[in-house]
Amino acid sequence: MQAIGKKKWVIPAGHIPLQTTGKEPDFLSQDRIAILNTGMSTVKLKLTVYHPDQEPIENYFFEIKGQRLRKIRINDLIDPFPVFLATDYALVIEAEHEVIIQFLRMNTGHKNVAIMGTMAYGTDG
Amino acid sequence: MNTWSNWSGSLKFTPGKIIEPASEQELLEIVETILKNNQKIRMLGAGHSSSPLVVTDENLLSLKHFRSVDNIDKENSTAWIGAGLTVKEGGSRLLDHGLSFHNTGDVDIQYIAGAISTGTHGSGIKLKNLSSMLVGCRMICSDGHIKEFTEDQHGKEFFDALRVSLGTFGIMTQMKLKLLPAFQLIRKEWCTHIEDCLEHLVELINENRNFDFYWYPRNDLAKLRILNEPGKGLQKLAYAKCVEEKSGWAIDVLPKQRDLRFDEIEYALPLEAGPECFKEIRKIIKAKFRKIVAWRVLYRTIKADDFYLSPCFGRDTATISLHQNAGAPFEEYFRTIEAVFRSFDGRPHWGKKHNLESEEISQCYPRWNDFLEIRKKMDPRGIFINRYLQKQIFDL
Ligand SMILES: Cc1cc2nc3c(=O)[nH]c(=O)nc-3n(C[C@H](O)[C@H](O)[C@H](O)COP(=O)(O)OP(=O)(O)OC[C@H]3O[C@@H](n4cnc5c(N)ncnc54)[C@H](O)[C@@H]3O)c2cc1C
Repeated sequence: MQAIGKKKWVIPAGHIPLQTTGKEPDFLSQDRIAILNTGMSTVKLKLTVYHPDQEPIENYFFEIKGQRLRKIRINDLIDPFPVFLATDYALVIEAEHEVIIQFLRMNTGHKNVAIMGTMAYGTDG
Repeated sequence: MNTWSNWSGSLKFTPGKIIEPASEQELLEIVETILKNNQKIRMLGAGHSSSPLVVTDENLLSLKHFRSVDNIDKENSTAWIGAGLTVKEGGSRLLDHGLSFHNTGDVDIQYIAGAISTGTHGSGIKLKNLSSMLVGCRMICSDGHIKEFTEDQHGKEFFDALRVSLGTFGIMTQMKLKLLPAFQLIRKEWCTHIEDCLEHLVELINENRNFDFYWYPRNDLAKLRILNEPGKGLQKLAYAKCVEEKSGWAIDVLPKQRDLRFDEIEYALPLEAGPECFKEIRKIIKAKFRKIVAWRVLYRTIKADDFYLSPCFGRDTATISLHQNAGAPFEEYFRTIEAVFRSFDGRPHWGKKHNLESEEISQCYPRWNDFLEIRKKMDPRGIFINRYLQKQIFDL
C-alpha cells in the first residue's frame, strides 16, 4: 500500500498531567502519540519539543517498520532530555515519508479516567 | 589554559597544568620538579567521577600512555597492567591471554586504576568490587621514588588501605591484578512490574551470578538484568518478559554502552536494608519528584570486603543509585533521597555526587583512623591531596 498521510505533524497543546491514580503503567496519566505507517518501507522520524520559555530540544529519533503502528508515551522520552510533567510543550514530528499521527491524553489524576484524543495537525510544509 | 570537564559536564575547573608523560622515566623527572617546587599533583583516570576527586589548580596527571599488559601468570591468573588502560581495553587484552576480570561496572570506559581507586563495583552478591582485584602495584611515592608493592610482601593491612584510596597514596603506574580464567556469560534482560520484581527479589539476587534491576519512576516498570554462566542460574521468569539476550565472553557481555549523559548519586546500604530503603525512595519520588525525574533508579548487590574505605566494608551490600539526565535539576532531589540513604546507614559512592563531610563520613568507616595513619606515612606533606579531600573529606 502507498504511504498515506503527511510528512510533518504538529501537536501544540502538550501537557502531561502530574497526578496519577491507579496501578501504573495501565492507569498512568500520560500524553501519547500513535503513529501509523501505511507505507511498505520503514520510516524514520525526528521529533522536536518546543517550550514557552526555553529553546526547543531537537533530535529525538524513532523508526517504524512498513505497515506498522507504534505508540509512544511522551512521559517515557529521556534521550536527549525528558519532557517534564505539568509543563506546557508542543511537538513537531518530521517523517521521511507520509504517516498519520494521532495525539492522546489520559488523565487519571481525579480517580475517574479521562481520555482525550485528537488528530495532530498534518502539513507537508 | 583550558577548562577541564568531567564526563557528565557537571564538574568544571582549570588545572594549572595537564601532564601526559609517555614513560615512567619521564614521569619521575616531572615528579622531581614538582617536589622541588613544593607543588601538588592529582591523578586522573577517564574523568568519570562526578565528585571533585581530581579537581586541582596545580598539576593534573593523565597516565593515558601507560598501556602495557605484562607478566601474565596463567597458572595463578594474575597479570600486570598499565594504569592508563580502560576496563574495555584491559579486558580485551587480558582475554587474548585467556584471563578475565571477575566483574565490571555498568560501563567499561573508566580506567582500571580509576575504578579501583573509588571502589567501583558491578552487581552480584557473591562478587566483590573491582578494587578487590588489586594485589600489587608500582607506585611513585611522595619522596619521588618508584616502589613496587605486593600484598605478599607488604601485607593485607596495607593493601586493605590502598585498595580504595582515592589516589592519595601515590601514583600507580602499573597494577598487579588477581583475575579469573576467561569465562562465558549469557545476559538476559527482562521487563516486569516493579512489584513483581520486589516480590522475587531475594531469589533473583541469590540464584544468579549477576543480577540488578532498574526501576522507571514514570511507569513503575522494572528492567531485570541477569547474567549467568551457560546452564546456571534462573532460566525462566514466569512474571517477566525477556526483551534482550546476548552471550559471549564476560568482558563483552557484562558492560553496556551508555551515550546519554547523566548525574548520579549512589549509596551502599546493608544488604537487608535495601528493599525497605528502595520502597521509601519509590514513595518519595512519586510524591515529590515526579515532575522532573524521568530516568531510572538502579539497584545492585555486592559482597562484603575488608578495604578500609570501601563502601562495602564489613557488610554484604545493596546499592541504590539515582540517575538524572545531565542538565536537569538534581540538587534537591539528590539531597532529599540522600537523607533517606543516611537513615538506612548508607555510605556514599566516592566517585558520585554526595554531600557528606568529614565528621559524618568518618563515622561510616570503622577503620577510618587506620586509613588516615597509613595515608600520612605514605604522603606526609600531602602532595597527592587536593583541597576537597583535605578539607571536606579528611579534615586535615
Ligand atoms: C557512565 C558512568 C557509569 C558508571 N558506572 C559505575 C558502576 O557501574 N559502578 C560503580 O561503582 N561506579 C560507576 N561509575 C563511577 C565510576 O566508575 C567511578 O567514578 C570511577 O572512579 C571512574 O573512573 P575514572 O577512570 O574515570 O577515574 P577518575 O574519575 O578520573 O578518578 C577516580 C580516582 O582515581 C584516582 N586515580 C586515577 N588514576 C590513578 C592512578 N594511576 N594512581 C592513583 N590514583 C589514580 C584519581 O585520583 C581519583 O581519586 C560510573 C560513572 C559513569 C560516568
